[in-house]
Amino acid sequence: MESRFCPHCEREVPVELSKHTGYILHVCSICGLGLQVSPIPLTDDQSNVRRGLTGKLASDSTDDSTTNSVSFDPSQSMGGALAQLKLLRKSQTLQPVVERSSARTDTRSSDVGLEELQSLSTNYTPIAQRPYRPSLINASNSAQQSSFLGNDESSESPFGDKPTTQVLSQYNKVQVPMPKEQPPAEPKQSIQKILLIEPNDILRSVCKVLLIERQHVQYVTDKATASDGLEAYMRACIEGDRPDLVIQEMQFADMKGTELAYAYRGIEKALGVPHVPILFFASEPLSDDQRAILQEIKRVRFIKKPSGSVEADDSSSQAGSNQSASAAAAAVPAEVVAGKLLAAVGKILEG
Amino acid sequence: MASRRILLTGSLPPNTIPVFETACPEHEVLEIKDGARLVSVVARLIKAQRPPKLIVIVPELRRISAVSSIRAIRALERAAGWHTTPILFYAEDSAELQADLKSVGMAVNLVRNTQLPENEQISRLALATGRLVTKIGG
Repeated sequence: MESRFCPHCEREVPVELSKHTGYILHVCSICGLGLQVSPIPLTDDQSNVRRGLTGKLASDSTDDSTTNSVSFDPSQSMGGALAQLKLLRKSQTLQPVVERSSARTDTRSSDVGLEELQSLSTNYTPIAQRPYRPSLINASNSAQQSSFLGNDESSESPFGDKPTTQVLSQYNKVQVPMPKEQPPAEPKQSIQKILLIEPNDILRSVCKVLLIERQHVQYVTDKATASDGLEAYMRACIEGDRPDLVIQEMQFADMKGTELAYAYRGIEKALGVPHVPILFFASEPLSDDQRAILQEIKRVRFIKKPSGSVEADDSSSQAGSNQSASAAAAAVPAEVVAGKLLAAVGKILEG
Repeated sequence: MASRRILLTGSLPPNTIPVFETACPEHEVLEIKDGARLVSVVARLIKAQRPPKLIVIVPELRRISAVSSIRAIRALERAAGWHTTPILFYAEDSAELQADLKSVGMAVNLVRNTQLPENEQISRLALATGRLVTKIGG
């Protein structure tokens, strides 16, 4: 049994330990005066629990228990000792908790202001009201691309993430107009402008109409003579609106077809423009000399007219005053010739 | 405004240019080998708005014949809105040639005398060219 000096008994007296919640009171066994107050030493489990709750206490708990004891002042009553003990507990155990709460309060007040919160609330737009942004879609991802085109019904959202049920419901409510599946694009047509030089009026007219209607050529400049054709080509070169293809006869009244082709090449060389492709369309087969010339001219193709077109031309010229009747009679072979010409032009367009 | 260039085209003997330069001292004489190159040169001069002052053609021309070359040059001039360039033709006379030259306009033919030596023919052509250039105003 421990002994303490009792100021009431004025001598060393044995003390009794009176355990209370959180502390031990040393009491004089003779007079019952409280002599000393000391905290109850913690067990290991209790110490760990308290260390987790209060970080600062964990370091203090390692100190000697005597440092935490409060010396009893005999002039004070027992109530004064308990008040002192409460102050001690507040200073040791509750202080860290108070510090943490105050720190949390400071953080709130410094980081996020009221104005910022208000601005966030006003600037926030719900998902259902956000504009649809298809540019976010990664086209290289085939799965996303298929969903973008509407092929995959169960798919992910076009924003790339897998939507939750809520987001999906909002997404469905918006009814974003998804682009429909595009039809296969037509092959690009490189020939839009054709210069047609043909002395036969009927054949030239039929060819011009059929080229525009069936081959979707934008416009056809038709000339009857080589000089007019060369003038049209030179004017087109000066204006920067060159034809994409020249269709012409092999023989004109004022100039040979090969001479006309040489003139094209001379103009192109002078003006620094690329060679225009030339489609020769003649009723007579090529001679060896003509074949060599066409090889020298380059970018040329030759098509032989079907037989019968010459007779149509003759019949129209012999009709004299009755031009309309002869034109109707000559229309059939001219269409046959034009059909072959169109087939050749179609092959060029495809190729 | 026309330049002071004279285009000399056709099958010509060597040393022709000095003779023409003597006959036309204030002009630049340019020799061109064939009809296709003649069309190309005229097109380039028209584009530069410096068309030649006179074109002298001596048949036969390769690739594009002499008459067809004249027609092509006229077509280029019409396309560019330029005035017609005077042309001096040096060939044997024929009715067909006269009709062709009449159709193209601003072209005359100096009748070629094949009996004369080649040097004399060139001197005669150069002298006629000088007189024509003087008459045109240059």
